[in-house]
Amino acid sequence: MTSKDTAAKPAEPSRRDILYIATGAAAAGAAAGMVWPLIAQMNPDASILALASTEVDLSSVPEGQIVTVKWRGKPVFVRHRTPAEIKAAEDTPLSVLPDPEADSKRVQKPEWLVIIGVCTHLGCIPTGKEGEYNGWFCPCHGSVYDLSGRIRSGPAPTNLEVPPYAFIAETKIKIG
Amino acid sequence: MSKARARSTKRRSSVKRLSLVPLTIAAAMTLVSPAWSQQEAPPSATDQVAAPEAKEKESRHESERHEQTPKRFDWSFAGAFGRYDKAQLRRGFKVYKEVCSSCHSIKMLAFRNLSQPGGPEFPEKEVEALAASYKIKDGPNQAGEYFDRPGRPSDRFPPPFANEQAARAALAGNYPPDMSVLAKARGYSRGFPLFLIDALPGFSYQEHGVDYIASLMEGYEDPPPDVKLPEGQFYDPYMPGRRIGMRVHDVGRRAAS
Amino acid sequence: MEGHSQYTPKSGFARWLERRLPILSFMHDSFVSYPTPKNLNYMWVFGAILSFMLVAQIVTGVVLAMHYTPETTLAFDSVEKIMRDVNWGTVLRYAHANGASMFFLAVYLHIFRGMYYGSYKDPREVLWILGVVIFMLMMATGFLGYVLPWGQMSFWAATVITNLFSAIPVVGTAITTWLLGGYSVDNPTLNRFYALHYLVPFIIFAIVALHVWALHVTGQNNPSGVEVKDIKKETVPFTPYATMKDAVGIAVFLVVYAWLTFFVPNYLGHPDNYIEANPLVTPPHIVPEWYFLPFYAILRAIPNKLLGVTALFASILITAALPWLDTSKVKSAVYRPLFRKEFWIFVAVCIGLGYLGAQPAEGAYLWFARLLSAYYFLHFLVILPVIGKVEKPEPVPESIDASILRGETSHV
Repeated sequence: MTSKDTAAKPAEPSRRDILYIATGAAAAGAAAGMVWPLIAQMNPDASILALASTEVDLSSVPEGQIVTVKWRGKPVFVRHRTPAEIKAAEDTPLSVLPDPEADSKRVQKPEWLVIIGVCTHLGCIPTGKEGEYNGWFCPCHGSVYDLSGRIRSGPAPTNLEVPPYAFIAETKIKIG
Repeated sequence: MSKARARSTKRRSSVKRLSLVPLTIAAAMTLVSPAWSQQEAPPSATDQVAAPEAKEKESRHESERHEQTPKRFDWSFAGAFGRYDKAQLRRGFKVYKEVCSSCHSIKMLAFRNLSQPGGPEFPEKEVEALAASYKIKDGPNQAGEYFDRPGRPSDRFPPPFANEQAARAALAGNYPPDMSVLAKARGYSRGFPLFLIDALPGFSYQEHGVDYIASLMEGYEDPPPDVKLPEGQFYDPYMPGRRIGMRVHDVGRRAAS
Repeated sequence: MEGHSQYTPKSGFARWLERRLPILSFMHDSFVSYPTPKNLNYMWVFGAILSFMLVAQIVTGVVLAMHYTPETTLAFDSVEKIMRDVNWGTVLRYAHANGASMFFLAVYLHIFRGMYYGSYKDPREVLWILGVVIFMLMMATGFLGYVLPWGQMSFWAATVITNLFSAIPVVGTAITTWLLGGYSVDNPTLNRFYALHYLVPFIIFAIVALHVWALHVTGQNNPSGVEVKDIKKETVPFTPYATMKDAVGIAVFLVVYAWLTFFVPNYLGHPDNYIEANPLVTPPHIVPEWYFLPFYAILRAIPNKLLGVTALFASILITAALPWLDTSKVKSAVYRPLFRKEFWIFVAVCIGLGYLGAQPAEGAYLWFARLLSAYYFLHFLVILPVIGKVEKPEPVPESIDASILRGETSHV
């Protein structure tokens, strides 16, 4: 209705126009302030943000075994690799990899491979010690990962992700 | 938490009394929203007992059934611009840890709450160390067993008793309430028309629960001569029924001196 | 009241849509060009406030449902987790809890407005009855929601209210068991109450749509109680006139709502509801939320279970019969000298019942509650029919314009 009121002389905004705009702006600000909590409440809450780290005792994992631990609700594979497996992973030339990454960049100690067990294709959990390279095989859409968790064939675009972790003792790691 | 200017830092003597401190933290933990504080002359807790004997005999029946109205305190967190006093909260937690926690749980609170803005704001390192001093049940591990591990800031405070029955068995039938929301879970009626005033801007007051707990903690006294208390019970005119099983009497006095 | 649509689509898309689904002209006719009597006072803003509150409650409720757990061992903790951990959880929960109170405050003012100005009379009976249905569904929703935090008051409110049905002869106990999903309030009860608390507001929403539809068929009543005779002269378009007035009303209402939510959030609650439900201990005083207190007082005033429960339900249902109990031909209390005074007595009785509902049911309180309950029913069953016959109304103006010229209806 402001347009009707001021249709005759659109060049000069009247005092009433300014009041309308100010009121409208205040109302829009208030509405935004009311909507924000409704959106922000869906972000992770304080208790979830606090659950950032998981500790794993490695001493009970025999050579050649994989254990799965939960970190932020996702599985993390901790694989105690044998010397042969380490050698196979290290000797793979980068040129054959769809997502080239050296094995040494993916581990802190060569015998311990720590990766997030979520297929980078669409989020399924790959099964261990399967597939062409005896690494991991994703049953959903057939992605094959090697002994370093790197993608070798199949639809997945990238290597299995390495979570942030640190050795807090000789045989103990803290993920996150 | 309100960022408003802190009220006068001048503390009333009541705050110095250590027995009140756990209540303050209980209040802080419940995150009661601030309201305007008012000062009222607190009625003497001993008035009732010092009444003339003849009158006492008549009023005794009544006085045994009804508890006394709690005193009103001057809380720094009362009022629309009220704020929690960090030092007071820290002392409060110390008392909780050293005294209350042997019987009372605060199971809805996590260690991390201690470093949260607006609370006692302990440094995160201290909270980590504190959490690590607690044993938290976790599991099952790879062998399928449940085990104890040191606490982390994300853990909640472990309760002193596994369940209500265990508490009652250990404490001669008493069940100490969880203190996570205790200040909000206690209150008293101010009656018409005062309860209306409590809602009004400028006069609003909602620290009834804290007042009650503080009055109760200070209110322990010797029972009137004709009141026979069972073993392990104490006399407190602010407690409904005026009998209380909590042994905080001596602790409070000792901590205060 | 409505003629042909005054809406003319301006853009190409609007013309395209209008031929397929005339929703734009419908919205325009309902909320823009809809004629409202020009003498409406501020008591007419509560419809808009209630619409706002319904949406606010649904939105905050859906959001809280994302974090709440309807399971007896977790419900209380999950509410406290909302308060402590969820982003903005404290604000959202307090807004929802106090929103219920504000919703009822607005609905009571809305109802009393209708009673004072005779808004239930011919031709608005259906509109009024739909309002009564909405009110009852609101009460159900409020009660169901109060159970969810699983505090002591939640638990014992659920116990007491479901036991009301056990007063029904023969099948009462079976109905209570069916409602509870067991022999006492327990996990099945909490779970179904949660499901119903989520469902009923949407039923309310649908009936509100019918309520508004019925309103738009008959047109609004107005302070003079005289029907609109000349749409051109006696009405103004809904937008901007009613929209702006409603916006002012909502803004003022929100100030009170915000004060409650942010500064005295637990003022209207009961401390006992911060004690987790315990089926073995009843709190010394069970008190419902304030908006149920008058009806609770009526229930307790009668020392017989079946009669008490009957009176409780009758006290709500009787309002649906109001269009036929009020025998006066004159709508607005402005021209009814006797009813005008009696109306305020009735309001005082309702407030008095509310006060008594919060007091222990003993001694003088009980006798006052009986007195006021009796008056409550007398008001509907005897006083209103009789006043309508014996009262000599003041001269009613011929039209809204005449009423305005007399300077009568521009107040409030």
